[in-house]
Amino acid sequence: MNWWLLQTRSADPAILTEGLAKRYGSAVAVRGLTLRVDRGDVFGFLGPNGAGKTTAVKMLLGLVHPSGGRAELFGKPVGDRATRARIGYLPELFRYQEWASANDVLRYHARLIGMDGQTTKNEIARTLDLASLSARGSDRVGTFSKGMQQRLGLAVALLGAPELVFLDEPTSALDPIGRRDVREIIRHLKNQGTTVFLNSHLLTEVAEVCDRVAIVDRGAVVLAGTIDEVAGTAPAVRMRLVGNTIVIDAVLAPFGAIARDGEWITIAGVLPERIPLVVEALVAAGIRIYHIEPKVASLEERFLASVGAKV
Amino acid sequence: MMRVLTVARATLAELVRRGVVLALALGVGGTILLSAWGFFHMRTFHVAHAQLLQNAASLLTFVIFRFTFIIAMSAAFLAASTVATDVESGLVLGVLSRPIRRIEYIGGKWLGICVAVAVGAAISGGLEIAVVAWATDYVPPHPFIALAALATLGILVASLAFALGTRFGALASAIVAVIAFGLEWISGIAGRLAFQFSNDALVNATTAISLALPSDSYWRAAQWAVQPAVFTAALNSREGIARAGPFAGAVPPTTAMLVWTALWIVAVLGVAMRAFARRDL
Repeated sequence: MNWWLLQTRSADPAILTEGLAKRYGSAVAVRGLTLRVDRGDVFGFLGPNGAGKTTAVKMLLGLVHPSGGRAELFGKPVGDRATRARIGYLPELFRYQEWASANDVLRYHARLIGMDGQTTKNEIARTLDLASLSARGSDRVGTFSKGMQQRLGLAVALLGAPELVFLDEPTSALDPIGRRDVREIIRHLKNQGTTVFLNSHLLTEVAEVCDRVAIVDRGAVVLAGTIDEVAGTAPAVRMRLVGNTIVIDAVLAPFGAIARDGEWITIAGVLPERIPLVVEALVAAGIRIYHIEPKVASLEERFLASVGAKV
Repeated sequence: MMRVLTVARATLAELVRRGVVLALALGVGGTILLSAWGFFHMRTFHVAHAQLLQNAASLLTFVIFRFTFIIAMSAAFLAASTVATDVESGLVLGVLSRPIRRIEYIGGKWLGICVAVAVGAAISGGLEIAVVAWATDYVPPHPFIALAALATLGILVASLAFALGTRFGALASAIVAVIAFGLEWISGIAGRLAFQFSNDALVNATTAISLALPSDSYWRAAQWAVQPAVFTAALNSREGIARAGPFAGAVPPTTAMLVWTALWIVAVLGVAMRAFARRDL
């Protein structure tokens, strides 16, 4: 069992998997995925292309049959119909029928959920508004840009106010405004207590909105935890100094290993609370300080390190 | 059941909105109008009324024979694409994440396509028969059986193409279904020739093939239903069949064939549901 699974909170988490696996012949898409997502969390599922993220999501939705392991949503086995009424899903790749209007698409999904007429009307208006498509409800999907189709997909996923929403690369077709809007929608969902499973390879997007993340590579989780836990706090201080280099080295040596990059110096192992002591020592030695900052590893650095890429 | 009907209704709406219905209506409508013009001008032939009726019956039988091909081809291409395109476009992912069983989705899709094919076959065949009756006074002996036979033929070919389309690509599935219909048709012709020349082994072989896709019985049933009763009576012998040739219909489907057809459709739909339920999407 992975170490990070040991964290337990509510009795029935939104998502729980144990050893979930998928093989296609000799190719392994997902190997032993063990995961827990608590209710109300915005969970980022990070990984490079081909890491098995989409396959994992599809297994959680019952669209792909696992080769091994088990998975539950809200304490029920994956595929449970009553549970699926509480779930919304935005697939990574889809293309709505060009002849249909946005209202047609939403109405079809509302019927599949089992909504009555008035609720359907209200929900269509609400979700189109959330996706900033209120003015285009009657327009044919064939007239929509790729980004607008993505927004419509988002509206479909949010239909019926689901308790758990799977968003598979939700901003892949969106411009910067669209990406900002999606982040706002995710924050809105979080404020409502909705659990969001965000499948993405956009690290900044995940870092901005997620409470917890898991980094997956070659079908297995390689790192998981809160954003801070995953990004890590490998402490360091970075500064730009002017003065005698021999003096500088002598002053900084007691604080940690020194690395130079032109005028920039980084000292590994310096916790933020020790930075004033560094400043005092440098000033006392007559060294001029033009810039100084605490440095922590970014999510991107940890991501790249986790998946074996060069930082 | 509500979700089956929801999917069926969406499937029908798609056929209408994509212009498929309009295209078929224009194509079949044009054919019917042309044939109406032709049948009407048969009145200008200086022949006795009885001869006019015989000519009209022969020509109607031939037109209905051609209709069976149009219906089979249309059914194959419509049915093969209905699930396959949903899978290829990714639409099925959003739909099947809803509280709907895969068998409900497949049932709804099949129902929508079969309703469209059956209604289309019945309307086009009915219009043709009505046009001939108006233009020449020839009324086939069993017009409603003819329409039912056309509709059943369409459902059979559509079901095969549909089942293939739940697992394979749209074009491949349609082509395989059309080839199967063609092989079945050739087998039926060979069976008639074998019967005519008393080759029991070939008769048995072609009968077995006709069970694999029982469409042969239905285009023959449509022929039987529109041809004059006197012509049908002449086909009740080996010599009669020899005179009429292997393309004529002789008898309507037997009860056993009707039961087998129903079982065949249920079995094919069951296989489609099972194959789709096991499929990774």
